Amino acid sequence: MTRTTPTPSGVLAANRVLPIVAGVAALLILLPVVALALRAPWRDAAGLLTSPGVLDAAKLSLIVSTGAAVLSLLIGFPVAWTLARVEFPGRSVLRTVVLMPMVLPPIVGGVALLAAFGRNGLLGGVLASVGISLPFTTAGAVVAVTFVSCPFMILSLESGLNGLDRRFERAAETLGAGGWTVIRRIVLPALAPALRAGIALTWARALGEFGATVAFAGSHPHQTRTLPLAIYDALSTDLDAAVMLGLLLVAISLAVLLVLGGRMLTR
Amino acid sequence: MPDRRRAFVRTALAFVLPALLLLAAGCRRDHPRAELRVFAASSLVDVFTEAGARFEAEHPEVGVVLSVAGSQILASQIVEGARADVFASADEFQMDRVGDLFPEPVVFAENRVVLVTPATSTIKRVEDLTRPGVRVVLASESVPAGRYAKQALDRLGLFDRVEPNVVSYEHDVRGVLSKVLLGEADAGIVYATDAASAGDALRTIPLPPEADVRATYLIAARTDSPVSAEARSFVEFMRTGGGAEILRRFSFLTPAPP
Repeated sequence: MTRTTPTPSGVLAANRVLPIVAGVAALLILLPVVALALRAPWRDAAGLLTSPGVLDAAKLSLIVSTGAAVLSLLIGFPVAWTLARVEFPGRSVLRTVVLMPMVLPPIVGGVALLAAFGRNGLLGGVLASVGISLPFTTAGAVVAVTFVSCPFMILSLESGLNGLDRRFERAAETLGAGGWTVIRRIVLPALAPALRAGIALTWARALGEFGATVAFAGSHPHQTRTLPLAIYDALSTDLDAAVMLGLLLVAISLAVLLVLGGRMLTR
Repeated sequence: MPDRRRAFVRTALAFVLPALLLLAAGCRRDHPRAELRVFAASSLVDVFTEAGARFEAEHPEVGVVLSVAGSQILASQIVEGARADVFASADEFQMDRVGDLFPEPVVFAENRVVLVTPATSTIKRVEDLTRPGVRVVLASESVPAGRYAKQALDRLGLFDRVEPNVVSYEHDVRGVLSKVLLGEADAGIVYATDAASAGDALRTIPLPPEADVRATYLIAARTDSPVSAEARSFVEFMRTGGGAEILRRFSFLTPAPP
């Protein structure tokens, strides 16, 4: 006779109750998006989505959020590695600092970026002396969006690194592999799911960024007016266009999360 | 275990007690006040904050709840079902959008557009906006301040030459003001009242008479409001009562009394 440890009855009850709460929560999140889709002017969709303003904004959005995802990866990987692998006294301080943009209102982030990199900012003079001026430029928008979305990359990569089985790395080293070889051949392939999830989350967050962009980079149709800014602008005059653009943004974000996020998010 | 339970009770109390206090404070009022929801355009924020307080002082039975955003946002919120008892719009078009609910709007204030620059700027006249390298910030044409700015520049025949210098079309006039205040922009076109609110930090340059474009502000009471009498009395207060006085103090022009 085999004996199995009985599941405590409290946990059984939780298994029955909590999924109901989870279902309600999911519905509450879904409801506004469904409501948006229901009121969308589908008949005019083609016209609204192919107007020059929308195409410009969509192009800018792709450029800016891709730029931000790349920049976030370049910054995020070293930071995540340091947090996950290096023991040092200020580790929790470093983590708090790099994750701060997640809890900072984005518009405050934008103003803070102006205070640092604006024309009259702390580093404004230094940047100007090498011919760089960030506010009101597409590069500035990339910086603003990276500031807000980079923490998503860091979080994903750090938890990915923490989940790796270090024995493989040690084995590789025992067999004579150098540091870079270990990273390239062992760590990165094992980190791929976290990397993909990080890129997807960062990219999707970047795509929706509004506050920091508008505060730091302004809103110029050919320079910095990304889709969220175009939506806000359209809200003033053309609610239909705003709704259609909003749905376009939802569709792109969902697609990215599902395709790129892959196993990490859909398992 | 008892320790943990005590900690739980303490934590629970920490949350529940303030909530009860708040509730008690809310109940203590002897006369429940009628809540008057006033939606006002961004450029009216200072005036309406003060006017709301004074109106409450004159009508102790009314509590004014102020909601401030761009006229277009407020109109959209009303169209989507938000309850506004009074709507003050910086734009006739936005007032028209809610015409079913606010059928009798009246003009209660006017505002000029002016050029603003940082206090140390070398820009002296509106023509200087066409100089190469000058960073100009305007409001987007989707908001009234942007349309008035373009109109003014058009009347001077300058818009086409200023346009290449425009680095941003902000989504509201306060955005223009803050970019100039922060020194990121060399010049912007804003309402005279916004310029006045910034004080000495900015230099205000009036536009030539032929570019005297005026924004008209409309106010209306909602007819099917549960507090429609109070709403009408607030509208009167803004037109002819203490509200009009406050408007003038903040550099708005008020229509001559009939």
